[in-house]
Parts: sequence; structure tokens; C-alpha cells
Amino acid sequence: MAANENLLEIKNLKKYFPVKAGVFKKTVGHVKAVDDISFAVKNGETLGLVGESGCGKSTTGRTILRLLEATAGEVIFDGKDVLAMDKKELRGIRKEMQIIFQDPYASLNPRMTVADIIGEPLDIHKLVSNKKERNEKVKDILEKVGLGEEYMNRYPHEFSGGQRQRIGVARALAVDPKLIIADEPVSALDVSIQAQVINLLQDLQNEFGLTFLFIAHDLSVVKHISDRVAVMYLGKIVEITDKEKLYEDPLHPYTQSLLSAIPVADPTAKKDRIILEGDVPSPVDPPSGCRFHPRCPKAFDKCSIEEPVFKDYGDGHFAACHLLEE
Amino acid sequence: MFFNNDKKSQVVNIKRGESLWRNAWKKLKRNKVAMIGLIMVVIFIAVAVFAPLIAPYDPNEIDLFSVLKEPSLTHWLGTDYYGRDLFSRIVFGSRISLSVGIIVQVISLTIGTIMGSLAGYYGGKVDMFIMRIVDIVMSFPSLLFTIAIMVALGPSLYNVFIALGVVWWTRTARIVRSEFMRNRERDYVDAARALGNNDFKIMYKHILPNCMAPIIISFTMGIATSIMSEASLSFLGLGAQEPTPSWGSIINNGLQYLRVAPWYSLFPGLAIAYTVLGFNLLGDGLRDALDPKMKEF
Repeated sequence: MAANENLLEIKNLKKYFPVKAGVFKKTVGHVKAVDDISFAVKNGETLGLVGESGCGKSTTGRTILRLLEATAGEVIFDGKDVLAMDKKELRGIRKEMQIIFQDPYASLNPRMTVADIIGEPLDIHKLVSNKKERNEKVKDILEKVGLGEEYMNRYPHEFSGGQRQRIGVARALAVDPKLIIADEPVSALDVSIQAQVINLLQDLQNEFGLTFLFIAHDLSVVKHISDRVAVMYLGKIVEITDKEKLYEDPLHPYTQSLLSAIPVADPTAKKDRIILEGDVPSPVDPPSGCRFHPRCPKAFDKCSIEEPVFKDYGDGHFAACHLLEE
Repeated sequence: MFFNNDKKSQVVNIKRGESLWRNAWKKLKRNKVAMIGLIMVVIFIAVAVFAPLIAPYDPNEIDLFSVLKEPSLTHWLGTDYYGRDLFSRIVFGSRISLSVGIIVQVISLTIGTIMGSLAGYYGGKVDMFIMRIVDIVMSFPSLLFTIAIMVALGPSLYNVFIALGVVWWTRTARIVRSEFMRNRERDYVDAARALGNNDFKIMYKHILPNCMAPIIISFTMGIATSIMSEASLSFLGLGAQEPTPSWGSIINNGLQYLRVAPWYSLFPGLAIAYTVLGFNLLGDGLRDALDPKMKEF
């Protein structure tokens, strides 16, 4: 297996939500949640996707899986365009891509036992032929996520948040997928549990050769787990590069300000925090030119007029900023 | 057995989890008023099922020598103007009430759940179309609308089922729709879709079990209302026809003799009140036990 081969390629993906108003529900505008983004996830790596809340990270994840229908663009998974698939093909590809959700309290069906929750994907994709085999497989998977078989006939409300998230991981893992989209899988958990779940995800990645698209807003978590990191702002990807490069030499002013906000566990350390002014603008009517220009400390004339091109500034370090072109 | 050293004979004790239904049942059991309601309902159902064993006389047996008799040891609740034993007629009348209650609710539940789930799950134009039908049906006063249907279909017990079902499914549809709309946004639905479930499975295997609480409550309360509606229709002469012993029609017959034989209308009235009270107490208890707002999932 070629390590550098792209398992997932996103090309010019757009997701607009119509804004409707009035008696006749006329479309008066669009929330541009994801606006023309392109990136790739290599086989076996973890790509972290970070950004503020509401910047379109989760929408990106859900659009890739077609839980939301994209407005435009391509999602190439393993050489095939997921967005162009019909229902039958899509069903097949569902086995290859799975998702772990943020809220472990909402993502498990409260009326189903753990065995049914994990066993269901096995039934759908006909991975087991009888009940005994199904039970064995469920037991196996539970063990892999660190839960005993004694939990099989329990219901989700009998578990803690961390245990529930393990069940969520087990469900995603059941079909033996290639790609897992982890949509803020630890942000709803206690800090001590976060570490456990993250370590679990890393162990499973090593064991099964999984590829992760890891969506998060916590930069320290992303730093720990990712190989490469993409930074999103208001529906656009502003920078994408290797983890080391991003954390040591961020190119985009937005990334710089984000990184300066990471707390350092040293009271004497002097920090130059870049404090951004104002709020994130509305994605219904994003600013002209570079979307970051109203809040950018380094903005100049060109920024409000022309949109910067997202391009390679050496060694796969992509960014979109006019400053870099000078 | 706790000190068994032989490892192979040790069986892992897989504890059965406690489902939310069992939880709700435990809660219901603690609620005294609800349990009284449940007992009342069980008695009512038992009377209806075992009516031939309980009733001392044939409900349609005419005895012209004992017309309009007062309650006595031979006729516990007296007799009507044909000399028929009222107790037996009321006991057999419970069969009519029970069947009306259940059949009407099953009809309205079936139509209402299908329509409501389609409207709530798909939204948009489907929702628009179904909910406008619901609005049209609901814009008429329900008794008036049922009477209109009964007049069109002709008075008979079967037409009562149809008429009440046609009116009642709209309420179930509204409840199911709102539950589906609330649930379809939750992550477990997205998870089910990501696993490759089709729409049908998502709707009826995943979402519907999570909507059962309000459906059960509305079913229980609906039985009481259906029984009342049937009694009203029969009272007006549009429901069950003579000699079928329906509580509503017995009250109507007794009305003419209210001065000389007040028990004639009183006892079937009490029977209706008892049944409706029982179902409503049970329904209230169920609401308390099942209401998701009282217990966070």
C-alpha cells in the first residue's frame, strides 16, 4: 500500500444552506457553511481539521459522508466520486467510511442494546451469517474498545460519557472501515477521559491502519493526534500543512492568532498573544476579498478587494494570504 | 458455587440491561393513582371479555311482565321498557365500548403514524401536503364532523369505527410528526444513515421506538375519548342500533322515563364515567412515567 496515496480527495466542495423567509418561504440568501474547499487525506494518516465553532468543520465531515447533500464539488474516495453515487453504490461505500460523533448522549439510540447498536452494521453489510457469529464479533469489537462482554445487553443510558463514546467508536469500527471521520469525538468528555479516548483512537489506528479526519477545536488535542492539520475559517480552508510546520511556522495570520491562544503551562513564560477583534462575520454575507480581512491585524488594501489564492508555499504547505505573495 | 476453581465452568454473568420501558413500568407501579386507573381498566376489559359469564340474563331477552322494574335482587340494576335486564345490557355494552375504543384507536394510530412519520421525516412538500389535510379535518368541530360522516354513511356500529377513525388519525399524526421532527435531527439518526440503513429502517426501526411514549399516552387517552364519542353518537341514534346494547343508546332510551325510572339512564352513565375515568387516570400515570422531559435519556 502506497503510504502517500490519497485515500480521500475533496475538490471544490461547497455546501450552502438556503435561508428562507416570509409567508411563501422564498429563499432570500444562503449560509455558505462550506465554500469551495479542497484538500486531501493520505492513506493511514490523521488529518486534523480545526477552526472556531460555526466555521463549517462539522458540515464538511457530514457532507463527505453524504449525511448532508453537497451543493457542488467532488469527494473522491478511493478513486470514486462519492457525491455522484447512486443509492446502491453509496450503501456499499458506507462500509468504508464511518463517523464518530461529538455528543455520546445523542449518538446512541436509547432504545437499543449495545449488542444491537454494534451488531446492526454487521447485519446491514451482511458481515455475519448467524446470531452466534454476530455475538462473537460484537464481543470482539467491544473488547477492542476496552469494554467487557458483560455490557452487551445493557442500554446506553446505563453508561458514562466515556463508555458511551467507546460504544460509538465500536459501532464505527464494526464494519472495518478505511476512513473514520471523527467529529469532535472528545470535546464533550472530561479531560481525563479525553486522553483515554484519544489513546484508544491512536491504538486502533495502528492496529487497523485507519485513516482519520479528525475534526476539533482544541488545538492541543489536534497537535497530539494529527499528522497534518488544516485550519478553517468561515467556510474556507486558510492553511494546511504538516503538524510540525504548522505549530512552529504558521503562515496565515489567523493560524498565528489561534496558536498564540494556546495556554502554556508556565506562569513566567512571556507570550505575545494576538487578540482578534470583533466576531466571526456571518456566513450568509461573508466579507469581500479575504474573509479574514476585517479581523486581520495585518490586513491591507488588497485584502478587502481580491480573494487570496490557496497555493503551495513549499513542501506541501498550503495557505491563502496576500501577505505571502508579496 | 462462588468458590469454584475450575475456570471452564465459570460462566460470565451477562447482566440484562434495564430498558427504558422497564424503567417506566417501575415508575408507573409506584404511582398509586395510575395503578387504580390500571385496575379499573383491567376490570373493564375483564367484564367485556367475560360478559356472557357475568351477565345473569340474555341482554336481549324481552320480558313484558317485568317492564321498568326498580333495582332489586332479581334485576340488580332494574329493567328497561321491554323488561330486559339492565345489568346484563350494561355488561354486554362494555363489549361495544371496548371494541370501539380499541378499533378506532388502532385505525387512527395506523393512519396517523404513517402520515405523521412521512410528514415529520421528509418535511418540505410532503409535510405541507399531509398537514394541510390534517388542518382541514381539524378545522371542523370533531363531533359535528363525525355526525356529518355518520349521516353520509348511515347509522351503524361499523360506520362509527370509520367516522371516528377518519377524525382521530389527525391528532395522532400531529403527535407523531412533531416527535419525528425532533428525533430526525439527533445524531443517532445520522449514525444509522452513515451505517447504510435505508429510510424505511431509519423511520421505523430507529426513530419510531423513540416516539412510542407520546403515542402510548395518546392511545390510552384516545380510547376514553372514543368511548365518549361512540356514546354520544349512539345517544343521538347514529351509532349502534337496537337491540345492540350500547351505553349511549341505553341512556337515550331511559331519557323518556327519567321521572319514573331514573336508574335507567343513571347506570349506563355511571359505566361511561367509570371507564373514561379509568383510562384517563392510567393515561396520566403513563404520561408521568414516560415523559422524556421528566427523565433525561
